[in-house]
Amino acid sequence: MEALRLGVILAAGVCLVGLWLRLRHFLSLPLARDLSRARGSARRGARYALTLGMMPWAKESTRKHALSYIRGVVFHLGIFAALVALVAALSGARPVGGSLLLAEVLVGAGLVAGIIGLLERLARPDLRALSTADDYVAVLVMDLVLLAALAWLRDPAAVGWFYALAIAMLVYIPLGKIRHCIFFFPARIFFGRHFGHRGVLPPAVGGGEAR
Amino acid sequence: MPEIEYKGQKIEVDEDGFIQDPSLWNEELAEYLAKTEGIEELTEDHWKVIRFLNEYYHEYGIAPMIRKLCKETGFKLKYIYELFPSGPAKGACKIAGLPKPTGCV
Amino acid sequence: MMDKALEVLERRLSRQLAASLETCVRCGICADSCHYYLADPRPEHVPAYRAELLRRIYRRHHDPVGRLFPGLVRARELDDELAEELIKSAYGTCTMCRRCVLNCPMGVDNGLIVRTARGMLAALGRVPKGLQDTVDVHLESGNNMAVSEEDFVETLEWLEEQLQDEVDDPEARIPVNQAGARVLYTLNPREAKYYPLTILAAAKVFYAAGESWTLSTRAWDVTNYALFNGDDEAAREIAGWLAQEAAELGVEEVVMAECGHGFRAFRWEGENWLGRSYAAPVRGFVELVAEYIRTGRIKLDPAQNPEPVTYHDPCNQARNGGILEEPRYILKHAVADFREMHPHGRENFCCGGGGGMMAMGEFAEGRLAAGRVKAEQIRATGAKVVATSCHNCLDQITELSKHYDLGIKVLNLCEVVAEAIILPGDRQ
Ligand code: SF4
Ligand code: SF4
Repeated sequence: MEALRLGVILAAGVCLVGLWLRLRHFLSLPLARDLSRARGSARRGARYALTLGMMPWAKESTRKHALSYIRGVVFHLGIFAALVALVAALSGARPVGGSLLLAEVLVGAGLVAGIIGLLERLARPDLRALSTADDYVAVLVMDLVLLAALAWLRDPAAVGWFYALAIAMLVYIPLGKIRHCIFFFPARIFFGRHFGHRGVLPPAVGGGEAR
Repeated sequence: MPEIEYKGQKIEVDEDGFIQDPSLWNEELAEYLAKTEGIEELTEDHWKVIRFLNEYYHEYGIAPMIRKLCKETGFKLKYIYELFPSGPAKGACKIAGLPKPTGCV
Repeated sequence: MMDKALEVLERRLSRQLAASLETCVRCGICADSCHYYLADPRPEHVPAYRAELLRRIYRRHHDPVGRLFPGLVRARELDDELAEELIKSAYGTCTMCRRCVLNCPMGVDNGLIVRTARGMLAALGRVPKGLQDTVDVHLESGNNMAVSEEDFVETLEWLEEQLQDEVDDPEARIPVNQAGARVLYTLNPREAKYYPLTILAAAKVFYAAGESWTLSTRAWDVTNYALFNGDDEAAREIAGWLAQEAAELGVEEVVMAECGHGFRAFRWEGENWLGRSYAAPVRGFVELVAEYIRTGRIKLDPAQNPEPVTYHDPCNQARNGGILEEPRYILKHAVADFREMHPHGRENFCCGGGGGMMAMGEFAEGRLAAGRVKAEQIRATGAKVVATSCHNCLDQITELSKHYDLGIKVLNLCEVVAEAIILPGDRQ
């Protein structure tokens, strides 16, 4: 077991190096500066994009597809819970009582959400056309990690599976689409700054609003 | 390229219905094109506009300014828009056998 | 053969673009924010699908996984087949309205991606002809309809006479090349060439406000179709003319005629194309008119426009330009019965005529089909008049009215305002 445990730690290192290399490529690119005169505030736009702009009612798409949005949130919460569980396992701790129950619920729900996500991607023609192999692999890897995390939460003997799948996940993160975990932030900030600068976001109270 | 069939002859038009080869234009074709623009009957006033546009185009290779059109025909602006409900560019020029202009039309 | 296109990608690969290329998770939630998808829900009409075409090339060149295992991430070299697909996608079924951008939970800028793809195709000389011709004519003649200086001046003189009749003042002017005027105004060539009533309407508003304004015979075209063909060199050159003319005339501000893309191009993108700031600030005509009303420089009588009116937000002026409140403020003062369509403002739907689509006849069928969304929005308001603030929207909505039998009249805001104006002489 100790070998697998070390393997996880090593894989975490690989993951960080991989993400760092991705980030280095990104930072080697020029930042496009906006020379036009501001109408609004880039800073306020960025703040909005990372806070209220993320709320499900802030966008027509998430208003219309509240269920998809909730599914995504549940999936991601499950992943964060599984990562906490992984850290706990590595440090020889185990959640008990209320926190065990909470972890089980989060990871279990995340797993269900992840499986639905995978099935939806397989079933909907427009998503299939959009998807690369990476899109299936990434969710599959995550679903397996969630499954293993749930198994470990219910039975400490499953720790070997948990570690093995965690290694696969950590190595895969910088390779495929899961790296959006870092690129999400610059993308969202650029988006907020851009529309903030032009005075389009955040929405003001009054006219010109959608609702 | 779409085509229109007119008197047993196939004539190439672009997707907006402008004829491709201005030399194929004649007055009967104009009557046909007018119908596609929702003008059932071409009056003498329509013809005045159409003939001027066609002659100007053949002389200068470009559509005239609306000012020239008003001046030459003696019609008021608003009357020209009434004659050609889809406007001088998409309506009158098309019927007069001119190619589609560049820009926002 | 494709090198030129790849060079464009390399040159334009900023952190902003890379973030948008890296971050999409192909969730597909942007699908029905696009009017093309709503009108015809095909996979190729999902906004992210369009972006994926460029992403494939990006991965081939910038993602080690894409280089080693292209199959895993669908990385692909740009070839003739992909270029053809890009033309249909980036030019043929996207109006660059960026409605999908607002609706992406990740903040992916599909508009930026599509414009980059267009720029790459432009470098290959594969811009659809009608659009490229418009840019070429602009570069060659100084305006996109090849209006000669003589024709332009004669038209303005002719309009000046009509203005004098209209306001019953032989001193009323349409000033030309006036150094030191406060405002440099611009025009869309179609106004001078075919639809001069909007020039007259704007001149009447300036007259009523007692504005110190001028047109220029050297740089007067408000449009810049290079925003749409994606060619930054051309865009820079065109924006440069107006910037220089404004500096030479020493005006306090440049005011863009009601032209959605022209406003966006010069107000928001121009300084970035040029790499320097303008001497004078830029505003849209609508912003100026709203100010006239607010400060009492013009007075309006809404009873002159009794029919129900709705407003269509040009994407490039509203969502991409920040002009959201002003049109509503104006209409509430200028018409008796103003009705919003839903959604509107920053979330409005594109009319379907954006992105240079009106100049690309080969995509007309899809354009009219995708316009169904806007047609239904308009119909639901019961309005008899659709006011907008863009000649391109105006033409598309006029076509929609014919195609979907809406029985409406479409006007630019300046015409609605001019109709309601109480001239200084008539004020009690
Ligand atoms: S562009 Fe945004 S909304 Fe659309 S699939 Fe990508 S991440 Fe999802
Ligand atoms: S920019 Fe507009 S037309 Fe283009 S994909 Fe996005 S929503 Fe559709």
